[in-house]
Amino acid sequence: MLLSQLKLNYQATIININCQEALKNRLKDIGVEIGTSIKLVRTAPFNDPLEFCCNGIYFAIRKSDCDKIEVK
Amino acid sequence: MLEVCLVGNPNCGKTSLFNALTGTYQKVGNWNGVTTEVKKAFLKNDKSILVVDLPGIYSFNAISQDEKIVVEYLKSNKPSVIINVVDPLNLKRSFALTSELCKLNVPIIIAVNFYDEIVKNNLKFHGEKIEEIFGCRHVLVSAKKKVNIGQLLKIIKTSKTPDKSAELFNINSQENLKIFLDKKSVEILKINVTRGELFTQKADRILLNKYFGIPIFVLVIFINYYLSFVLSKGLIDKIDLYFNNFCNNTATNMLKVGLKPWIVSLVVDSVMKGFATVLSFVPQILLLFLFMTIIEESGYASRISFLLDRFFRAFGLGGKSVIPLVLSCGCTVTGLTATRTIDGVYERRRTAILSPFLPCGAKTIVFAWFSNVFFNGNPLITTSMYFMGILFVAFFGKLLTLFERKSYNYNYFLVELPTLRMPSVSNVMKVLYEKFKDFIYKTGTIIFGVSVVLWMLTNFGVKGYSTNIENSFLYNIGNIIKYIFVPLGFGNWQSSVAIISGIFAKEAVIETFELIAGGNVNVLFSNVFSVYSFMCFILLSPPCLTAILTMKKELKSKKWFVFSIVFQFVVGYVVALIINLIGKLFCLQINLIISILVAIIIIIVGIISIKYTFVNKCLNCSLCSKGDKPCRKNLERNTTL
Repeated sequence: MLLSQLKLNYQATIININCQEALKNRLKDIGVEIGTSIKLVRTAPFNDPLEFCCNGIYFAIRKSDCDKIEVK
Repeated sequence: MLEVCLVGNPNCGKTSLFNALTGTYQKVGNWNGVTTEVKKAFLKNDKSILVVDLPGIYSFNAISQDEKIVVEYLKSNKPSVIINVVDPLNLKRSFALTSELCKLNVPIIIAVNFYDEIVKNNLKFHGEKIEEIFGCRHVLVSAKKKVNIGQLLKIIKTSKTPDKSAELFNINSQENLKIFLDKKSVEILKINVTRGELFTQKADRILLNKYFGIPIFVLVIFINYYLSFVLSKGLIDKIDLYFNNFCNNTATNMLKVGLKPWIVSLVVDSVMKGFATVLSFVPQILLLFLFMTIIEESGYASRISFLLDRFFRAFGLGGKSVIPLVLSCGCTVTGLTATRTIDGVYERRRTAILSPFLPCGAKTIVFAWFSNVFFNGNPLITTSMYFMGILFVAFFGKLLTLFERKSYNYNYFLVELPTLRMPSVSNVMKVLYEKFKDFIYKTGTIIFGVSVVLWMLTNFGVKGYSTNIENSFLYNIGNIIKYIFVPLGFGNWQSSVAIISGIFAKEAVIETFELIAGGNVNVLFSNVFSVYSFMCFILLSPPCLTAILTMKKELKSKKWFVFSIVFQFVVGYVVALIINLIGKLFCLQINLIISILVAIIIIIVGIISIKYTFVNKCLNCSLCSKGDKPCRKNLERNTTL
């Protein structure tokens, strides 16, 4: 399943990150890597970007980037 | 001399600690990337120790510009001591950086910030474990509440390089390190949900609501502007009256003493009256900055970028451009330096070019003065300027993207939403004090200079000193320039001169009017539309000389710098023209046809020139990302496409 298809307030584990290198490094910096569990907290107006919670950190990324992250 | 560097993750309180250590004031805020430059200052009571504040980093793989500064700084200047500032509520992430720092072979002290929050939430912090893991000393501090700062000072001099027998140095692979740090950070501090976090979650449900989020934002901005005008209006009038009486009294007294009339005219008319007008706006500026500081320090700023990312993306900008743009509403210079946190080169450039379109404090003063004079002090006029600014940022953001190749436009967006915090009163007061000082300083230097020069130009002409204004240099200069502004509806020499002096600082505009028109400006504008067109020209042109110089520094390219300045003036001109045309349509004047022709010619020439300068060249290819000069290879490729 793709991260963008995650339902509100559901939790999943990341199995693959295919986005561009710069974003991948950024995500790694804040502790989002393969194997971490991630929860969809809310969506912004117009359903984009999406806010996630991961290890107690709240952050937001765009839907198009979520399409490149696979979760389980 | 000992050099102490503050290094840590973004938004962990490095600058707050820096302020607490050195007693200076540097801007702080509750969002990632407040500090974008290396800042240095000596310790408050020990001038042998130099403290260096650096932008926040997560790791040594720097991406954005502010992060590269840190990595380069640490590599080129080997600091004597590093204070690693750590956020106890995000230990795992902080430790990833700590473990990299420990390998630099520099003495390190780990300063665990936000101690007050640990205490408030009754958490147990096992600090002794930090020393076992990293082999260096730690202190629990609170920069905000100034707790344990003295203890930190004491151990700076005795700090040592990390002990090589510490647990960290026995781990060899990256994988193991991660698992190790995960485990240890939980051992040191077991976090349940803190009170601040609970509050944040509740507040975010309203602030970031899918339907109400944006209306709330608009309301916040509206209240911010509306209140800062309504509340300050009475005060401004009082101060103005007081100063006016004061000026008149001084003038009569000076004449009584026997000073020559021209000296009295210089001192009272040019210097004092000009100052009085500008200074009477102090309450308004302070209120505006009060609101701005609250937005920044509470953590609402990054929430705005979350809310508006989708909206701004439609216009070639992104959520990350929002914070610089919001800051530009206070001061364009701070907004411009904040563009460094934007990762994408093109998005950063666009944001920098467009940020002067939002009314900064100085422009707001001009609008407030205008609305007092022409619109009975209606706060809606000034607030409308703000929304006009947003409109133009969006419109021209889109326009600028049209000249760039699509495939390179994509930027990712990642914003952290920090826990909401109560802005500290002492800090807010400090910001206001600094702004007040800046304002007085600016009035004392630039505005003073401009007013003296203006006074000389109004009172001297080819024939020497003369009180008849029609013999003055200024009259003659203004009469030449005025033809540029005839199509805009304010083709008189007074407004032309005001616009020229406004290039140095926008406050000088009202000062010029006070000086040469004696505040009697109603005669200068034929109708309300020409007033509004003048205001729009002021809104869209570069705010001050400092901003122009900062623009040059931030764009890092002569061509783009020249383009941006010309662009801002041209946009200001065209918009003012259009507004004047609408006004003319209502009044049906004869000049209408001429003005329409000028508008059409300008628009056509503008589009053609932009097309010629930019479209045929490659701007966005990865092969020549370093400069703006196109490489031949890509030129050929572009022409074949």
